[in-house]
Amino acid sequence: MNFFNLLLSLFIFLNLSSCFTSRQEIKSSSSESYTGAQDNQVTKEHCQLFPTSEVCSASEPEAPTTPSLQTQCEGITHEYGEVNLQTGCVKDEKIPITFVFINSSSRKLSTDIQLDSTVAIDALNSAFYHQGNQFIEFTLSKSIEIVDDAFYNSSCSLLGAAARKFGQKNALVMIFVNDLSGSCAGVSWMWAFPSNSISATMVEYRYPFIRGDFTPVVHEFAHMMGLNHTGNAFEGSVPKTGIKTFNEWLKFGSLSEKRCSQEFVYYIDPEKESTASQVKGVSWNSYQNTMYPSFGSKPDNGFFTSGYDYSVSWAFDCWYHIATSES
Amino acid sequence: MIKIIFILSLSFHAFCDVTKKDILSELMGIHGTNWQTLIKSDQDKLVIKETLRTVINNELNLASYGYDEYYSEDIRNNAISEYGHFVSIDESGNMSEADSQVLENVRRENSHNLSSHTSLALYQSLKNAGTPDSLDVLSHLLSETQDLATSYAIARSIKNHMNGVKRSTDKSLDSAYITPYKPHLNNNYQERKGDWGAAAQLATKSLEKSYQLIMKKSDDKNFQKDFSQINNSVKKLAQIQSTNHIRNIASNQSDLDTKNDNSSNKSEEIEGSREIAAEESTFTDKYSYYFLTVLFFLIAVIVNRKIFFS
Repeated sequence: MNFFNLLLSLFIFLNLSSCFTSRQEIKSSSSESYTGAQDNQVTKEHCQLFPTSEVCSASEPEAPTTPSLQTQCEGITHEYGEVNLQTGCVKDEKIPITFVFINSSSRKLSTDIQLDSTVAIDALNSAFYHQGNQFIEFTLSKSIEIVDDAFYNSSCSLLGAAARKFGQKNALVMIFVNDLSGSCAGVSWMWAFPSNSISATMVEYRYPFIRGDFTPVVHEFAHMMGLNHTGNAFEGSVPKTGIKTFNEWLKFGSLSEKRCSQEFVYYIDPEKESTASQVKGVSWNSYQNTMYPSFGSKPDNGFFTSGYDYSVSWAFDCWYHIATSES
Repeated sequence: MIKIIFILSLSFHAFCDVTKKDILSELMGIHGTNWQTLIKSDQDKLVIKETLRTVINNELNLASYGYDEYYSEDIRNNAISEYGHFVSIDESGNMSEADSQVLENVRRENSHNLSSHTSLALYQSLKNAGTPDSLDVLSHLLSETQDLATSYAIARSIKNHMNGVKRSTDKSLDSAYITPYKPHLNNNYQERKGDWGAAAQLATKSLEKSYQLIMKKSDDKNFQKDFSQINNSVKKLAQIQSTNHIRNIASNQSDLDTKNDNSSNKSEEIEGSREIAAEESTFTDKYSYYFLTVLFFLIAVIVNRKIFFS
């Protein structure tokens, strides 16, 4: 009997230790992913500027959680730009943005980063304004200028490294660089904020501030909040014309997560109360939408083309609810 | 009847061939080009190449395709950087004379400003060509510049030229929808046609010289370290070239170096995949613990039964 107790104790001990070890391993593997960044001798100045960046933060990135999405302004008629704060639907919540301007040791991108930042915030806010409604509103968190000869001429495939170095947990971050290699004008992750602790995007400085074209800037921010491409980016698998399923345009999280999907259908199409996946009025082939993946040859008529207005309103509601749930 | 055949052939031609409008639209893709969606045949590659050449030589009226004048510089730069993908490679493994001339003209035209967007596009194009002679030009250009950021851009191009570019297919990146079209960079330089010995040695020398310059001019430790990693990586790649014996040793070293590069925050190639690898490792280790636990449990049950029934 004693022998049995001994074995039973051993069994319990092993179970607990395996559980504990697994947790440790998950933590260490997660931190291992950032080993390279931590290996670098990050200066104190850098960490003062980017206290929450991965290279400065000792804490592990938090795993995204999927919040409950049951009670979004329930029983209340949804209006443009409203968000649910549990106590009711309110407007005028603002999303903080940090702009990072990367200089080289011999050249500056901007002569006035405060002016550029103000212009960019205005451009973003006007892009999300439509027919008297401010669907999404941004506010400037910080403007930072930094010398980095390795990132001054960067590449779209270096977004991960840039995000680890300059990303922040408490704001959307846009990094302006001189060049992004080849014909890439901007890059971001889909649905990066606020579920990812490092939410950064990179854009070439010249388009917004020299050419006066903010399409890449607005386009990348919209990706970070879950808006996908319109147009023929998925040519082959998707018909060139016609209705596009709403979940495919607004890509909330991975397909398995389906964040913000079924519960909100009636916000997009007030006639629909079912969980049907198709939404009236969303034209897939909207060439003049900001989310069309090519620019320069056609007018950018913003997000609100061909009935996209409901969609953007819906996106904001969903974004804010998740932001508050995860903060 | 001839008219009908002519119209039909024109329609067929229009239906099958990639148009200049499509090509320009690709060049102005926000996340870069996606040539694979346009290329259905070798003829399409030729049409793209010829269109890029006419854009580079300012022979195409971009305004007639809806592009304002101030975009013409960007479109031309993008055409330059993409041209390298479409160069023809001759028997010696080098670029054909005609293609070499197109890029040489761009180099001459920009020799006064090696930091311009056009020059940066040229470095991309030379990298994308992936030939010994394009590596030679990159090496010469590297030794001509004193600008640190430009040196870094060229150095990175040299490393990716020699190493090939194995791009991540990280689905969370919005640019991940684009399958990279890198016909000349799908493998290591040694596996490509051509005499690489001298080109690899020249690249090593230029990088070493540039690294010494950076150590003198920059006091940014991160930057020095990043440049050093590129320098070491290229050295290892060049060593592999020498002999079979050295190749074996250097190959192991190169693997180690690649691992080191992966941990660098400048790793251009395998973003994301390391995290997957780490998860897999954890997965295996975790299962070995569970296996042991279950084994002990079974032993405990068997022993218990023996004790119980005894």
